[in-house]
Amino acid sequence: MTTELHIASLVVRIDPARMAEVLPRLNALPQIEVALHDPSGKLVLMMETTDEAAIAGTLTRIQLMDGVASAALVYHHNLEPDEAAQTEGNAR
Amino acid sequence: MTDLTRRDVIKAQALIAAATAAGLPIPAAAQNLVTEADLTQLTWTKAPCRFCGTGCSIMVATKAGRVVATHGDSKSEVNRGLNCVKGYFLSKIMYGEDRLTTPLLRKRDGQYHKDGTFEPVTWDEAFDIMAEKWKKTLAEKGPKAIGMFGSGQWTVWEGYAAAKLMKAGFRSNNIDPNARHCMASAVAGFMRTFGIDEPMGCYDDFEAADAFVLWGSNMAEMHPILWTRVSDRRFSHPHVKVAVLSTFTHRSFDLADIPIIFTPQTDLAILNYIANYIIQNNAVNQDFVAQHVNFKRGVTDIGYGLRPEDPREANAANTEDPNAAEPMSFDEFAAFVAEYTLEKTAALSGVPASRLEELAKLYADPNVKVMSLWTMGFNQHTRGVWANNMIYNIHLLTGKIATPGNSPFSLTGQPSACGTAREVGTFSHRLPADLVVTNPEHRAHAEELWKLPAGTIPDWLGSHAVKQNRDLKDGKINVYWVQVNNNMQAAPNMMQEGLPGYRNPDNFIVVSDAYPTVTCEAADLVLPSAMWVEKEGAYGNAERRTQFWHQLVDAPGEARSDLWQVVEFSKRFTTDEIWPPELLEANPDYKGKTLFDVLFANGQVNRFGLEDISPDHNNPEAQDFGFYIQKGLFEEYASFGRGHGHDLAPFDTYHEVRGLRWPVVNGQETRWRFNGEHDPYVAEGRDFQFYGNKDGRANIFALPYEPAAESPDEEYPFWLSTGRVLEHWHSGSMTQRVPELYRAVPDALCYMHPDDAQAMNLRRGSEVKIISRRGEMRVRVETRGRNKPPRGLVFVPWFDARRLINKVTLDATDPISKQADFKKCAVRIEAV
Repeated sequence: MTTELHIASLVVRIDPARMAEVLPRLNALPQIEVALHDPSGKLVLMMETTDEAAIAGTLTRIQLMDGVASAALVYHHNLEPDEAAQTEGNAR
Repeated sequence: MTDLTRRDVIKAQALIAAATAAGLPIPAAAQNLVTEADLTQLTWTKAPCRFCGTGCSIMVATKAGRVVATHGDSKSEVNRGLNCVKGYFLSKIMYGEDRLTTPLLRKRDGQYHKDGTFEPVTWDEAFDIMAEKWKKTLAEKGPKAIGMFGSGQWTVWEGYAAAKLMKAGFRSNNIDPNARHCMASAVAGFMRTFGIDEPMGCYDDFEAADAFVLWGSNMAEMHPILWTRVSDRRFSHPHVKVAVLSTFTHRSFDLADIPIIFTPQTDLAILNYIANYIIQNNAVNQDFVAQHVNFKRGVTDIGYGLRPEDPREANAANTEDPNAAEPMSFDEFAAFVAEYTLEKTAALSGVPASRLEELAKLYADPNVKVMSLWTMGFNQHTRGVWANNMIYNIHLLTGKIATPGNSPFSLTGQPSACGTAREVGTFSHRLPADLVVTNPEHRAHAEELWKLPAGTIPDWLGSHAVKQNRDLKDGKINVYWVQVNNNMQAAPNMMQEGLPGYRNPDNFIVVSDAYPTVTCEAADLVLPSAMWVEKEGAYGNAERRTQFWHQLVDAPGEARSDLWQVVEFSKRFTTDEIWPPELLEANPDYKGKTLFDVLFANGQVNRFGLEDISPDHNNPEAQDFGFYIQKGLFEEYASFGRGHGHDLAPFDTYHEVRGLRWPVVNGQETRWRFNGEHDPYVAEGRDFQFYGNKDGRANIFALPYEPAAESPDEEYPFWLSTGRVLEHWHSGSMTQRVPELYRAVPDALCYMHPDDAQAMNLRRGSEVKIISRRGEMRVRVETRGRNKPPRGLVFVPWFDARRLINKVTLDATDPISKQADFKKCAVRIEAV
């Protein structure tokens, strides 16, 4: 890899009555994956991008999206080029 | 078994952190992955966020002397692992390209010159010219001609040291914080109703309330983490209702079951209507009122805090003592609010009667626990103290106060508006722990605790924020030091009051900041400041929670903390030079000492040695002065409040815990003050006791609706309201340096109703001039944005240094709190 890789996780609160309408709009956002969601309207979104600006842009976009009550960033890590592919051990 | 990459591990860690924060189950695959790998490589340490008053705790990662990452602190009760977009960029605010790293003095031909250009100088040269100007001013005009303007972003010990230097060293009460623009009406509201400052409830109320009422507050954008707690409560408990009141539609209305847009200033009428509804519908909690409440009639027609020659001031009946009130009975109070009928209030406010009734019912229903929340909508108001008193009226009439979920809650806009600006006594009328300079007993108590001669602290009221700008313009204050804030951009009526004062040739203006702000540009000497985790610090948030952090990285270049600047400057003055001879004659032990000796090396502040400092963190202030100055200042300050309802825990405790809510008695924090079950200061056997007042009772005030200082007319037909946006914090001096935030919202816009735009042949994106009686500015029109004003009102945020809306605003203040009303003035709009 030649560029930095940014990994971030977001917690999003949506109106549970509007889940069916909002989920596809979130899924359609570039570089966003809805990792967890529960019926009460809580979601965990994962974001992976080479452009850090996209994190702020996306977070703000979600915060201002219809049907979204709140969006918060929980974790952000900036991986240096070449760091992402480093071996860390073995999965069981 | 498969090879794991660092990317896999980081992703799993990010997922776990988010799932934990959301209270969702953690996928087992992610869990196993993380326990397998060594994740750290970075040093993580806690620090509170340095933006709004919420007080989120942040985990800060450093690597090679730089902050490289942050995440929400999962151990924090405030934010439970979450972080808003501003908090997320904390790691970037210190690394803007134009960071100030050396003192800068205006010079011409190698000498200081008011009209010179900024040139780098050493700290010695900077303090030399400062000391020369201060001494000359003190000698010629006395302590009333010097001034200082600080901030709710000062750490606890910075604000305390600055207030002590001004009030006890220079013997001038002309010190005020920018919290005057933010919280002063809330403070005066607390003092008038309860006799003691700061909320009785806490954030635990969010999970106990059945209804939330936002009075003017846009929590979705300004307090997003607390808004998450409101939305969690609303969505997981279907009976919960949210009412949002504002003069325009904003993001918080998305969650509103009861949305209310009212005509500016008529919140006063709505508050009285609710009180009237409660009385008319027999919803008064008679037992509570009989045992815990007094009724008072406040004076009216109190003016608008304008210059005395302004007709609105000259013609007002009660400008002398706007705080005066007389006792009245419950029946008299009932008669007073009886005129605020549903019909009258609906007509005045423009709110449909059915909506007003829905709102009143929330408060009147004894089975609904209500949390009322407000910030600038109430506080930046020429009747802001009244609005604060009147919301307490409603909670007191119904007894919905000081119990879990029943909570009138004043939110704050700065990280230490409470912990520093209010609590350590940086206001022009205050001393630490709610003491005031005008009370001889309070002054004597402070002099005793400070080990200073009787009569050291002056008895006169200092100039407040707006008056300081007027005094600078009038040449009454001639030397002036601004720290940690951008008041040229923030204060009202910049062109007529702010700028002429700073550029008055008789004046010498010093500004300490991390970045070259609009205020720096107007200054004569700029001092480079260390910020946030470049120093050891403490903040106190809106729920009385005191939080500490260690220095985690070094400040760049010659930048120094505000604490170092204040204390180092004190070494340049001796008592003989600036204290009156009679004070020294009566107290010869103080002769020939420096202000540093009498204020800071006084046997108390220098009590803790360098051995007490954390071995893992730098502390250049302690190293320079030779003692653990932060600890010494904190412990001396804490002696004011211990045993008096403001008890703080020992210094070292705060470095261990995620903050504690005062009063902290026997190691226990207090969640609901005035409540016998929770507050150790309530007398044994009492259910409630409002012990801030001598009789243990809170005051309900009869106060009327009175119009705004300036309302739209034919010439200036629009209301102008100013405020903030999600992405930028206050004047944008830090957040505008984060490229991602700057790109997201680069410019301030004028939010306007599309029909108003169309009527003036304007389109979205058109450039317009906003013109008031005081000045004009240019900005582009937005008709479809996140804020949707009704016809006749425009909203312009104030973060943008290139589009200064305070050229237009009016410097009217609440006559009691002296806080400016940034939410109401009259403007005209012209196409460019």
